[in-house]
Amino acid sequence: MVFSSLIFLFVFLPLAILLYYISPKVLRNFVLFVVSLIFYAWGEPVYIVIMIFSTLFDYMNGVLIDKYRSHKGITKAIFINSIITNLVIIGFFKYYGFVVDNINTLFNLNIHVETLPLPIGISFYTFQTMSYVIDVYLGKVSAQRNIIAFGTYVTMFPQLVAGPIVKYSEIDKQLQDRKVTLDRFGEGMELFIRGLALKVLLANNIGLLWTSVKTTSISELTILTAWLGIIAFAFQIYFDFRGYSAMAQGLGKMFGFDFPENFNYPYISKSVTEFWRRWHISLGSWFREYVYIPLGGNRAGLLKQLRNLFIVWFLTGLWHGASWNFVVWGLYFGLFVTLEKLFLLKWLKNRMRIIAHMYTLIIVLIGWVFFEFDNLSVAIRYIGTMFGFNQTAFLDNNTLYYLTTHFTLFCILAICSTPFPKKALVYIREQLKLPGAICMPIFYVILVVLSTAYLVNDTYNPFLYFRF
Amino acid sequence: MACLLTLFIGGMFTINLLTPNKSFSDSENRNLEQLPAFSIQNLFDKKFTPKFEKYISDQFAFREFWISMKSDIDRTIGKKENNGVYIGKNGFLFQKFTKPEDQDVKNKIEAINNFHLENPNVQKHVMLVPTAISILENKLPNYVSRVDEDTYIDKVKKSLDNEINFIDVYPILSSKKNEYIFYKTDHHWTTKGAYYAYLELSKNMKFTPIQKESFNIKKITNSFYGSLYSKAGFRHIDSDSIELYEPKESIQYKVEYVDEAKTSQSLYEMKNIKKKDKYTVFFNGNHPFVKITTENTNGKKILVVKDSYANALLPFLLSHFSEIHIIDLRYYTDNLNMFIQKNKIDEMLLLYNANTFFEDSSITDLNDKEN
Repeated sequence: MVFSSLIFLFVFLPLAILLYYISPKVLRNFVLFVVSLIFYAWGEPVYIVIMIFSTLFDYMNGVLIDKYRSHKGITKAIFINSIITNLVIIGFFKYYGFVVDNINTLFNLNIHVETLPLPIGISFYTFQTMSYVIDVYLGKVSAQRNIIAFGTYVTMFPQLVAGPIVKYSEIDKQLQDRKVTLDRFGEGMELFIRGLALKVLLANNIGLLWTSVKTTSISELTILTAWLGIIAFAFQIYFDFRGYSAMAQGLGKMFGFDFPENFNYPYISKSVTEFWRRWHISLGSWFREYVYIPLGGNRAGLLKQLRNLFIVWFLTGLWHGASWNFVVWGLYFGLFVTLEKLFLLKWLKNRMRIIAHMYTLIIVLIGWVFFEFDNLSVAIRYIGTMFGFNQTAFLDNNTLYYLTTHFTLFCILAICSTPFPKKALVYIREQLKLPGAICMPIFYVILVVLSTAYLVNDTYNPFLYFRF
Repeated sequence: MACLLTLFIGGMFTINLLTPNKSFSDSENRNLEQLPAFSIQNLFDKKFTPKFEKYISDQFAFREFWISMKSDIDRTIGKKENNGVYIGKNGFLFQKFTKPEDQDVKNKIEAINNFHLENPNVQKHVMLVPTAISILENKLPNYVSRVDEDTYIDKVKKSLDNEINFIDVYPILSSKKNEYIFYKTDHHWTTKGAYYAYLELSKNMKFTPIQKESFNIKKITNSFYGSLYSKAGFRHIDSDSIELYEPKESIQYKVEYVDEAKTSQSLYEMKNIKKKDKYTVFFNGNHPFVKITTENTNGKKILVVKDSYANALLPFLLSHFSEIHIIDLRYYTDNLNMFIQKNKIDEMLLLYNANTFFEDSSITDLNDKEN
């Protein structure tokens, strides 16, 4: 089940909220846990056992580590066993086919493999359970003895499927004790609706432009069309992911949880380093805390730091997908982050903000090309077209058609990529007392109504009888 | 504030619970999903949950209202196409032309040329009708290119055997582009458009066409919302009207729907005016093989191999032939060469609209060796 669907919005969510709030406080974790299992089973009726196994397994590991805390050898063994098992689970389901393909290419073999479908959310929940075991092992938190509370942490439907990746330490206290006021509930709902609107009204729409450009043969793309296409994708993936994260945060709030912010207006960044502090924050934070810093970070000399950066960016890329273009994408950013650390940031600081901004956007846009095309040579050709290397015109009728039919949408997207709309909302709410109090609900109702219209339309499926 | 939203979502939830299920969508021309049966097997096979979701969506209250709201908003922000259909000026809908693969085009041309070699004594005419996207250029949304369809029709024209007569209706249709020759909401031409093509046809087949004045032009409906209306999902646009051209000097004829063992005294199925797809008034849609025998004594026979565009043009042929054999290769499975020999056909018309010709593969069945 996805958040941006009629069944979630108008069936599952109202029932879930109703059930949660008519239950006494002691039962609420349990209700949330059960409801989340239903949510997950709805999409993965069979693979839910993997998630349940993962939950039970790491619950046991946490309790055992706490119990044998005085025996360093035993806890270490439990810890290593847990990490390896988790990595094997995610490795098997996500990377098995990829590994076999590479072995085939390297050794000229032809091992045939049936790739398994990827269980929903496996990249998110295994990272969460791993973070729990690591935190317990390092003594940062004590083990969660209540299996229901722990199960709730792992399977909570707001962040189960698409993040943000919530570290156990961030949520430990909230599992035991959380308060929801009507205000907070309302805030959560508003956040949820903003996220829904971003995904359904903005991301899905501009995505159509990218689909159209992506399926055109590259030799027919003009320079400007290639740029329009990748800009469309940049907006699509941002609003899609940001929208979903906002929905997750909003839902969390409605149940009394405070999830960390996952996006902070990444497209206003003035350096690639800054971009990665504003984009998919929970993932960057996870890799920094559990890979980069344990490896020594920047404290063990330049050579070691370069090695650490390489590993982190390699893994960041690989996390996004079992394909080399994602690794290239990760390392590409790793390269720029490194260059910036070495000297580029200083250089940028002395330039006009607009130059730093343009530089960042261009690097990010080129990065998206690697992200979207599995085939590296196709990606390179596309980039070549963007910079005029493939002898295509600057624009043609098609370009003008895309530009004129998407102009308004692009303007809206650009504005929504900045903090301006948020500031406007805050201003209206806080400064314009009475008119503000009337406008706000109306604004949100409009967003929900529009989102509903677009969601219904997604299922519009006319039977084209004239084909038969 | 949370109240208002809770009201809306709670409201929709309750309304959905209370409103009865619909079984068919007129605008989408399909059955709407009903409550699926639950079984553990269905659940594990991942069949139950998608069906249930489809059920919720299909039966969502006020579905038509939501669809029209979305299409209106799209148009407001400047969108000019949806689902492969352009919306042009005055609410004119155009089907997008998808470029065919070059090899496919070659195969089709070869099929026609080979067919000609196998039946050299049959006079062959080919009419590939350009669709609205090529003719009504002044109604297209800005910057949409109309050239593609033209280029491909031209390719066919140049590659056909010299003895095959290619009837080019582009000039006459183009000259009438300010008249109502294509439907606004459907991918077919209007009867008037078919009439102009009939004039061009008569020049090629060397008979004297009946002039407009000798017809009673009857408007049989004003509320035709056609295929493109359904496909595109745009709402709040004008409907089309359908006209029938009935010759003042009426001619008796018999229509045999051979595969269905039915005969009729009329080419028109007037009941279909009440249906959604009103274009099926002509011949009640498409059939594998229809034979028309007229009271005409000139003994002339013609075989028409066609798609649905011909349905609007065929009525004009009644006065000129004794026998009209109509075959739709999408449904007809027998060998055409044998058919021609058995029925002693000496003249043939291949009539397709460009879109169907390039997208549908049945034209290669001309070379079908199976019996």
